[in-house]
Amino acid sequence: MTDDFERRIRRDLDAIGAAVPVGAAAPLLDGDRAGRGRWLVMAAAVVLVVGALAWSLGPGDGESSSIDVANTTTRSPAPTSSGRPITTDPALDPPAPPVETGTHEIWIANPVVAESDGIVVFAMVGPPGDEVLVSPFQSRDGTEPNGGTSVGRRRVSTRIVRLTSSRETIRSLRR
Amino acid sequence: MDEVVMEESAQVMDEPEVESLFAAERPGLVRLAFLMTGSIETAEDVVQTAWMKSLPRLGGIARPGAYVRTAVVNEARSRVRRRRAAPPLPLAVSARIDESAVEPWDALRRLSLRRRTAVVLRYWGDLSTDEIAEAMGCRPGTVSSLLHRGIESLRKELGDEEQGDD
Repeated sequence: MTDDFERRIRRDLDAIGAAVPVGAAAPLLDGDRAGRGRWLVMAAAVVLVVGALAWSLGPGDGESSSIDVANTTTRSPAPTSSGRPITTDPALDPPAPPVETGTHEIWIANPVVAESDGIVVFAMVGPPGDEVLVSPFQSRDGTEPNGGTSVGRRRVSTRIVRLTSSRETIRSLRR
Repeated sequence: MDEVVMEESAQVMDEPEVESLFAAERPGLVRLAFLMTGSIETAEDVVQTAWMKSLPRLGGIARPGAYVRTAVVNEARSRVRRRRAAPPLPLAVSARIDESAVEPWDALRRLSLRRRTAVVLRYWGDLSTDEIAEAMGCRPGTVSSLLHRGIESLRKELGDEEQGDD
């Protein structure tokens, strides 16, 4: 048996639920396209891993890839209070990854949840096949004319973890 | 949930069926996740994640809708478990409802997550006690208790203490 109060709760929850802006639904992966999606993920992961290794091991601009031991030794500064010398040679002590300040552009189609190296994109767009340019590091709620876009920063990762649309294509990832 | 949802008579869903189920169920699931978490972005993410986790198994499940709903409830619970209360209504929602519905949300969002989930599944989702128990992975008796205490808390918060129980 339901009393007036419970009817009120039901009515209010219905009103709140109906007011939630929900973006347009889009197809999920099917077999063949899922295969392509997995290949995209694997290819992107390989590129990122190789890139990260090259970046962490490689020299600075214009420098040789070999380390000049004698030179770095003569440039070693005084040790810190903890006794550990501060190395200033980027070949020995690579700088921390740059702070993400710009807008990275990633072309996507359909709902995509993608995380790449320092760039996180979460987008719900429609209709299927439509392509939009989304920019990470922006966050907004609400419904877009094309059916709903929600872009926001998620946790930083070094891999693409999910590609969930039917024909998603990451055309370019420009830094 | 597997024991409840997976049945011997399970039929294999083909891909168009899965896509059509996704299109049909997604709006309701996003709203359910929102009522649990209080965040539109989290709700969309919850549903997306729950679908991706459920996708490999949907083909062999007799009631895929119930299976995904359970996955959404579990995913939403995992996102907000450490939070005491859901956030206030975002502007995107509060701007679209009558002001009188804001106060009930403020009371609802302060319920414990388990009570809030039970109340939402009963009064928004119209689920039976058994269905709620299935979605929440608990016994029907626990659901009855959660609903009773949840509604009583809401009555107190909203000044409706004169009404008795069912």
